Amino acid sequence: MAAEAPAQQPPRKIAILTEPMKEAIRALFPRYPSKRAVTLPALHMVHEHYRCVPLQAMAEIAEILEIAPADVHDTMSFYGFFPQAPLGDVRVWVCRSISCMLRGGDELLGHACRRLGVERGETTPDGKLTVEFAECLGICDHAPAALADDGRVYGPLDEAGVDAMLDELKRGRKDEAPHV
Amino acid sequence: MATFEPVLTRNWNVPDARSLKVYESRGGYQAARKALTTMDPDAVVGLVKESELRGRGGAGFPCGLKWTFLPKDRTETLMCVNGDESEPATFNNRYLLERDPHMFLEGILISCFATRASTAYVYLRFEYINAYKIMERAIEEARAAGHIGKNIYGSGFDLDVWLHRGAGAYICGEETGLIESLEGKRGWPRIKPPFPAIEGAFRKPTVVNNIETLCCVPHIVERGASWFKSIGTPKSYGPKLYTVSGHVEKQVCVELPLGVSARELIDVHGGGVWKGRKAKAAVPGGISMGILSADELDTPLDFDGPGKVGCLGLGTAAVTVIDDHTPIIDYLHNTARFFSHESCGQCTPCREGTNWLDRTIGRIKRGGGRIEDLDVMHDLAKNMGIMPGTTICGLADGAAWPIKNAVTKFRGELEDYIRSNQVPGAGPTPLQVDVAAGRKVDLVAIGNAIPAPPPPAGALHSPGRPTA
Amino acid sequence: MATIIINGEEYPIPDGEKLNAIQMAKRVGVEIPYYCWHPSLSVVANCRMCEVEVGSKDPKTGEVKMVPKLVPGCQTPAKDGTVLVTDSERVREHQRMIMELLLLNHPLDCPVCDQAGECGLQDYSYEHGQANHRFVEERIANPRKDVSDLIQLNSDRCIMCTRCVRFTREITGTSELQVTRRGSHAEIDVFPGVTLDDNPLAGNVVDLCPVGALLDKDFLHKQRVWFLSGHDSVCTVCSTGCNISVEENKGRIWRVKPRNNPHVNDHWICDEGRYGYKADSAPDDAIPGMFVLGKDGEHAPTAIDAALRKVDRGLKDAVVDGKLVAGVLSPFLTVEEAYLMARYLKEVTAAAVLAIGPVPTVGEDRTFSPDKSEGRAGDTSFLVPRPFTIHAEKAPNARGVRAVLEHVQGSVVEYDELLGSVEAGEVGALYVAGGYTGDWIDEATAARIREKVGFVVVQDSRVSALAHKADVVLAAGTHAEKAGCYVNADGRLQYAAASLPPRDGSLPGLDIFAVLLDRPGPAVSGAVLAELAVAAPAFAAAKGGVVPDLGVDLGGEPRGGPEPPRFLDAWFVPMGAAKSR
Repeated sequence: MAAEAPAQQPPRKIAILTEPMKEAIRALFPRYPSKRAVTLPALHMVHEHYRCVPLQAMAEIAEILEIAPADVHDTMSFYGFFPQAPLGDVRVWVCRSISCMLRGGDELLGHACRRLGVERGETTPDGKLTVEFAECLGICDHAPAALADDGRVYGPLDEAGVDAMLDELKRGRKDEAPHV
Repeated sequence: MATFEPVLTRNWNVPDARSLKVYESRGGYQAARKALTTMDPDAVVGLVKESELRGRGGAGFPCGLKWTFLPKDRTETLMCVNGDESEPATFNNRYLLERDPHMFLEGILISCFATRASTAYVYLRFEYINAYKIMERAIEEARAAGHIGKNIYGSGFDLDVWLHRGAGAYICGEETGLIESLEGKRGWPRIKPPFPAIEGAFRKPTVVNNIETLCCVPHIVERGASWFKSIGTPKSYGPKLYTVSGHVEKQVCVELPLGVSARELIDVHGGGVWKGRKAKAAVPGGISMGILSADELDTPLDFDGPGKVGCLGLGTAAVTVIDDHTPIIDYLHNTARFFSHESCGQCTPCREGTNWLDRTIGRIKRGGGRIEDLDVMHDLAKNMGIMPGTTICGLADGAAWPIKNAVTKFRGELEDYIRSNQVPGAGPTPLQVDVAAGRKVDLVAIGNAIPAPPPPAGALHSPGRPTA
Repeated sequence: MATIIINGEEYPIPDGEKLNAIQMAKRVGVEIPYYCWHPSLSVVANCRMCEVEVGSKDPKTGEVKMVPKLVPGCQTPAKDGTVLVTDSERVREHQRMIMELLLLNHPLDCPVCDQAGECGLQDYSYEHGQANHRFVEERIANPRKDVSDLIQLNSDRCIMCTRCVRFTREITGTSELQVTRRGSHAEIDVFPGVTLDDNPLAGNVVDLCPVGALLDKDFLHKQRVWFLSGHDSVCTVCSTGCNISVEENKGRIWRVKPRNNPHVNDHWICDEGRYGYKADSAPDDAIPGMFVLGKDGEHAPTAIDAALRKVDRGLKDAVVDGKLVAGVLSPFLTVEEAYLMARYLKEVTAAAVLAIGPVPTVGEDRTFSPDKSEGRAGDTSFLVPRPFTIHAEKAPNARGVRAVLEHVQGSVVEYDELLGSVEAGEVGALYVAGGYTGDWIDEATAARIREKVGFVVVQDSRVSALAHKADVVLAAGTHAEKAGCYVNADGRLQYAAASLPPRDGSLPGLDIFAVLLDRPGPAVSGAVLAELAVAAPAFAAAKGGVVPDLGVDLGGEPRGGPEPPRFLDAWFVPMGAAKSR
């Protein structure tokens, strides 16, 4: 490392991470031998709060973790989970992997998109729902299945089931208990 | 065969089995107490080694042997639990997490004690939202009850267990990909050596085990190695959670001795192929493993069985049934799309190969296939992966096996499909074909011609020129 | 003795070095192709080009056991009894496959690509590839973007070897570059707004890139690399003394590339040095010839011999007048120039005062200490991390000039001391030998010198405030136009060859002093250095005037056996007609 720290940050705007969030991130440091390991938990934290991970949040996380912003972006962009633009209130994944595909998963994803009038990966204009495809969600016992990001599991689905699911999801999140 | 007594699933139908109280009332944490208070860590390692417990995550590496690779003079050991169960059609670990979290924690506790690991990271894929919540609660309960923490059971052994969530990358199920991801990096698998047991997470000796593997450990401690070895087939001992999904009547997760056949799983446990149809094929253990044709369904699904019929191995023992109404190209399209989407992009053969396969199969499916595509794909698949030694991890093998198996076992059907599904405009353009073959491109024919200059006038008396 | 078997031949393994299969094979003349591996970066084994068949020979039975699959050479240590097969049909088949795969999405735009001629894809396609491929699908075309003001990234040509990313993480520790996304969509990129601009070593990512993905915009579309002639030189921008290759065509320098020297700069140079050639290439203010100040106060162009006679007479007149004769030797002179100049002035009068010229300093030393633990975890046993320092002292040879003065005069007179003597009116004649790349004297000081000193000679490559006032102005060679040795901050003597011929009207400094000294024959750097080595114990290590390829540590132990050859990526090795350039 150079004598001076890499003091390269993009032009500072209004801070995205609040002080309690920063505290929560720092509170995870003792769990791991390196601060960098907190990258994913920190990204999850920001994502839970803002339903997206904007670039500036990554720069701020990098500052807390004492790594370069590119390191955080590198990690973040590798995974499919973190969007840079805000999601709808509920994010729903329709599985397209083997078991679900065999039972019509691809078609159901198409049906859901058509019904909501969006492309896959897009959010409905009212901001309530984001529909995405997913590679195996691990709920193949419900295939063809879908998973909402509050943990609700749907399946086995058919077109009517998708319609009912979308209607239910549009009513909002149910975050509390595990949905088993 | 003696009657098989399920152990991994024994609490699943008990009401409230997730709570510590119920788990303890059913003999929970007794094995851990026995190990920590009456046994030497090396004795536990010896016991697991003796039981010949093989990793349930896919590769089937002997668990006890893995533990003995840790350096003798280590000062710190880490345990990483691989809960990034992303292999398509696999959900047995999710059941273990959601239905009996304390059995899993007990497995972690004993295994950490055996390997002297003082910290265990449970890497959970983010899709397991409910399992994450359940595990968080279970860890809290266990910590409060002294099953996790300092000086557990007065043995002087300390253990911390932390949950770490993934973010949607199949490759993080590869042990070194998981370690990189845990360290806050992209999940690019590392080269081996050094193996994680020598230099793993945070450059410390690290044990990486699958959830189901660890769940077997308390039962081995409780009942002994010979009990474990009385179950299953030679070299594949113990109970195993099989999942059956796809075109079956009932998509289930069942505990059975290792070595049942796919046919038994489908007919007995899955309620038969759905809609009264026949099975055309079945995936033996997650799509990485290749495919069994209908007449190979009697193959015993243990660690060695699938290999004998050209599949990669047992994998995650997740059987997916494909009925006779489904073209095999649909299955190929699905697997190629999956691996192209999930290739980490590190090694050239996998990064480029999975993308190539996906595009070619997509083209065949759209009606632009050529018979020679099958040979190209087969040749490509043959040279991808750790088996031929051309990649760092096994993802490429997983991408290659479905192709290899399908092209050899279902070649007739694929050729028929190509011949009978020709859509004008879907195939490669003549230019692409010419360029690929290194032929001189006829620019006039492709409508991209710059008018050719007139041939140079021959010199009147140039030597060697025939004089008209 | 430890031996390794490569393609059936047994070779001894050099002691004391940890080599991998690629390095070991290269030592014995067997080439294993590679892209992602680099001797100073962590081993990632992701390009898979270097795969070979590996086995081991049982020391007792002599039985050879081969690993059933191919193994990357970069992660295979060269150990006693290792067996490597690099030329089997299986290996060649594999290399053809990798070339085919790497070119699937490559635009094949060599005619407009600057890397053409020194491209890993071109060279290996020719050596190991095939003329056709089987891919008939739509290609992925990634965009072109800038990763700094001076560096362009053509993602479509990238083969994802990640050398550049590892460089910014492991060597500079600044991590500007990253990989985004994954699989076939993975690309190299910077974090938006955080470019490589602030990285003083950024230009090295261009050298590291085996293909035409990272290109230097300073050089972009200027020259075809096969027209360039490289000259082994030493950077004069600071006292590190980085080994460089100055690449020139038709009398003009087009770019500077680092040369590997493990004792000095490893594989890197800083951007200041990389673009420092511009001062030397064709400076607008180059002194165009020899001038003598006429009675009319105008400088008149004068023939070389007449100008030098004037110098000699002027200096000797001052001696006759009983005034001091003084010399200023800039830290930009070569050791040889400094030695001949000192000898000449001492020959004019033993009482001559020799001072070292001002030594420019800017900022503070900046050291980059590569940290192995910052790299990818994996086998790092082959890595020897070497720190790289950019020195604040912006002159190449302050140590060398001082050592010469110590020897000739017994002590070094500092520039300020000399200015004191000038101010006191003691100096009758002053001979200043410059060579600075920037302004080294201000108008006021020049005026004071002019006022106080009767006879002023300025020998320089560029016009300065003092040159305008000097009695005689001698046009000497720029750094690029002269050959000679420099002593760097660590006391290492290194030889720099001339990259350009002397420009019209000028003479290299060494020739000027040789004429003044009446030395017979052409002045050759080696001969002068040999004399110095005999005369001065401080230069004894340069015995016979021979400087080893990697230089010699003047204060150090006598040199041992031959050193390993400099590392150069295979695609930079000149081929064909370029070899003879």
